[in-house]
Amino acid sequence: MKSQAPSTVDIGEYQHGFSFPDESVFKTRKGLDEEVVNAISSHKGEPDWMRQFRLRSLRAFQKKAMPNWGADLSDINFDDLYYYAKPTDDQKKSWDDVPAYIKETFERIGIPEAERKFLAGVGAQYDSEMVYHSIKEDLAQKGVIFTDPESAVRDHPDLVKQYFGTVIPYLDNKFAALNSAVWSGGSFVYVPKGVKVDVPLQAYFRINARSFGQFERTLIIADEGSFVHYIEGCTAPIYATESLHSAVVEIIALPGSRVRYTTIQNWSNDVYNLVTKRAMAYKDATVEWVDGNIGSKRTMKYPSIYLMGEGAHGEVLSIAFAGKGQEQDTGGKAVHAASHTSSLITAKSISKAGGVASYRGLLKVNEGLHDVRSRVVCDALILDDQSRSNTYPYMEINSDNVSIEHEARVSKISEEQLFYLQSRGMSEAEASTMIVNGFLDPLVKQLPMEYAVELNRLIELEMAGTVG
Amino acid sequence: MMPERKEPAWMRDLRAKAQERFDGMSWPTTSDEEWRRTDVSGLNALSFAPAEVSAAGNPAVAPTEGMAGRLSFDGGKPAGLGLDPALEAKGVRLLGLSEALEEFEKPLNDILDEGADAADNRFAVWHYAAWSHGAFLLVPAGLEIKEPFLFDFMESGDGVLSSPHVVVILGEGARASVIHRITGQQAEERILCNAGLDIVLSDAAALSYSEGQFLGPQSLYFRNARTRIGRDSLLRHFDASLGAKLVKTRIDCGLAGKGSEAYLNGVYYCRNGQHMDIRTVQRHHSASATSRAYYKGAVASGGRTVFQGLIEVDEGASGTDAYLTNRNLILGDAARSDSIPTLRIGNNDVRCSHGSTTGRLSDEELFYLESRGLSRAESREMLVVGYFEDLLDHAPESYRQGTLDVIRERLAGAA
Repeated sequence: MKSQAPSTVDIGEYQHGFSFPDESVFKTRKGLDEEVVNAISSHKGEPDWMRQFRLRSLRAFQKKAMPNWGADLSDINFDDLYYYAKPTDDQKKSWDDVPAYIKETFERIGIPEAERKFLAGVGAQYDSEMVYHSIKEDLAQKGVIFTDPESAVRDHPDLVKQYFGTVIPYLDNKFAALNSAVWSGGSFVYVPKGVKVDVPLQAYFRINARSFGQFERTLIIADEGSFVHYIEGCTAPIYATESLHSAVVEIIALPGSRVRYTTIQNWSNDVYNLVTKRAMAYKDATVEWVDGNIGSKRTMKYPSIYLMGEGAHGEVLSIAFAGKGQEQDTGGKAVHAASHTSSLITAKSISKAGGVASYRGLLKVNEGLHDVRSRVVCDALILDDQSRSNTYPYMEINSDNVSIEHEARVSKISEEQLFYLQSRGMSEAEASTMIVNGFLDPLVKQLPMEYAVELNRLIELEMAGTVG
Repeated sequence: MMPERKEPAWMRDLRAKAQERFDGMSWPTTSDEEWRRTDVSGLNALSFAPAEVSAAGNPAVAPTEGMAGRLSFDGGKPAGLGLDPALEAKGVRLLGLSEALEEFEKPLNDILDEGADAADNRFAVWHYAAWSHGAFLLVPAGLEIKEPFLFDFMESGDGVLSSPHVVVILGEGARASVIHRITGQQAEERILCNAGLDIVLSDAAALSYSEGQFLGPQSLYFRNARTRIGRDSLLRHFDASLGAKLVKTRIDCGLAGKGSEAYLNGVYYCRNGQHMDIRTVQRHHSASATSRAYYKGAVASGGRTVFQGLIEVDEGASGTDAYLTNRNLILGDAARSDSIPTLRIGNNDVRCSHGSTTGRLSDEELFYLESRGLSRAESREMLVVGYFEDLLDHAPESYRQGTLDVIRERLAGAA
């Protein structure tokens, strides 16, 4: 299957530096208090239990301290952000009904092409609401639910009540509390017992309004023996004022199921991307996070897997590219809470032009377990002498019958490789790009094709002008 | 609270400055990253009474056979000083640190001032305000000494605070070896030992420094070591943590000279009821330096270890070659071992890596040894001792044997 997506994208313009006038139909004022939270909840016409959840979360957010580790977040001004904006009145069922200016933005990223080709469903998020949602009929018939969380609160309240906020409680951290208070949009996925969704579900998220915090909330429930691959891509236009993106993603992989979650994050370089992603993998379940971080000003994101039942397996593949002015503080966490579990965390990072790439991870083995295996491998490439790379792996082992391995390497592009490629007629920049692509190749191979194409193109753009 | 000391004005100032900082600080808490896994909130450190010191000077004793020199303390009191007269004639100086303050004001003022300024937690600051006794060794330029020196700190007294400090300076091209032993005289005594160590190597000097900590099971051991190593110099540091109820140590190894090399080798054996939190820092300030930290631990049931290693490479430190390895052997089910090997790299022309493994004795290897007629206990001993042995290969023989013997004893006790 060959994707036509690239043809819709003019590489010269592919910087996501375009934006359209803010045409939101409803927007809360700047700043955050009970009134704003109530306004969001009323606007969404939510039941009282969700409103109360938001208000509890708001109080937790106000009480919780900012993290005193990781990226520097001191210049976030919570009072100078909008927390909710609704772009169109209704969610459109067909692509033709989507307003032209929004469509044009998506056309530039290449969504409709991808959708037409082989995607099961597209949930495209423009600012806060899902403006477009479709899912192929056969999946709907099998009982797969792929919708926005607002609709899920309305149409599937029992499922939402049972799982929402159970993997990441609103008290978890300051940004999870913030998301819980003002969440808007995102995806809700339920895959019934034994159903295998053999084409990826895909959602695009975009931020358009200036100084706008986007707080999408995604909940994926894979029932026993099911399989689903969910893909999220993130792109924001470039603005001078800083935007905050703080998502919460919860995955529940029930016994025997498998969930794969792929992200390519390419927020523009003024976005703070502070995301909590966590999965629970029950007996014999597998969860895989594929997490690419190319954009944003500062990202703090550590997809986590709690291995709750025997036979559970978790994998995190993390790619980070930190260019000029960027700080990518990313990694992965695996918490082994049951015997006979295994995990693998592979991280590759590149830092360039003064960028800072940090791997931060946790590997924890609870008490009294046996036959636990885990391996954590980090590779970092530093492309010039202004850039930095850090590695902070935390390993907490409380059981004796375990096998834990960790390695990390930091290096530069080898002069021999550069010389070899240049002797074959490549420029230094081309040779560097090729080496970087080779460095990332094992991870890029894990991506569906159009994402691999997109990632390769993004890397090429990031590498433009690099020497050595 | 400080005993009266006849000290030069600069030292009184240094203590007063540290005391002032100490008064303004609070004890580290588990929200401080380096102390997150070691809770000292219930320690009541100020209830420990400062060790008695003596201004009498060290009684001269004959140097021990096979040793270049020896300096001993019984608690805070000098208990013997012996230096090979041939070395004394060549300019080697071995004396109590208190006695060295006047004669070596310039280097000591620099070294201790820098250490006090860099002290970033209340225990380390406290040490500079309250240090009680210690050793000073100077090996002049060009002198190569084969036999090791021995610093023997025999701590004693229940509820006593002991704050020894050691300074070792090697002149250009000098070579020497030191064994530094900390023991508790009475097993049940509760001693708080808050120690400091400074190693300064001039260009092309080479030092092997072997620390062994064998305090009793009620004692608390804090140690802050700092090194400054010059161009083309070589440090081999060995660190055996075997005693004390609570161990919280840090070695901050600054590679200040081009082409310098540092090898930090550590072993720790943590028994039921022990808590050991060990930190190494390989700080590459200058180009083309090499460092290796290799720490191996074993944790028995009821023990808890934390290893926090860091490689930090400054922007200008091109050609850095640094490696950090931590291995943990878990010997019982209720054992806990945390490993945090971290890298902070600010230069692209580097080879830096770290590795960490945690596991238990291999069933296959045990089975093999047992099938050859060894008992379970003997097989375990052979495997555990073998696991530690290679790390101590370059250490002085007496230190190596002594350390392995204690590990054997511990294993026998556990079997």
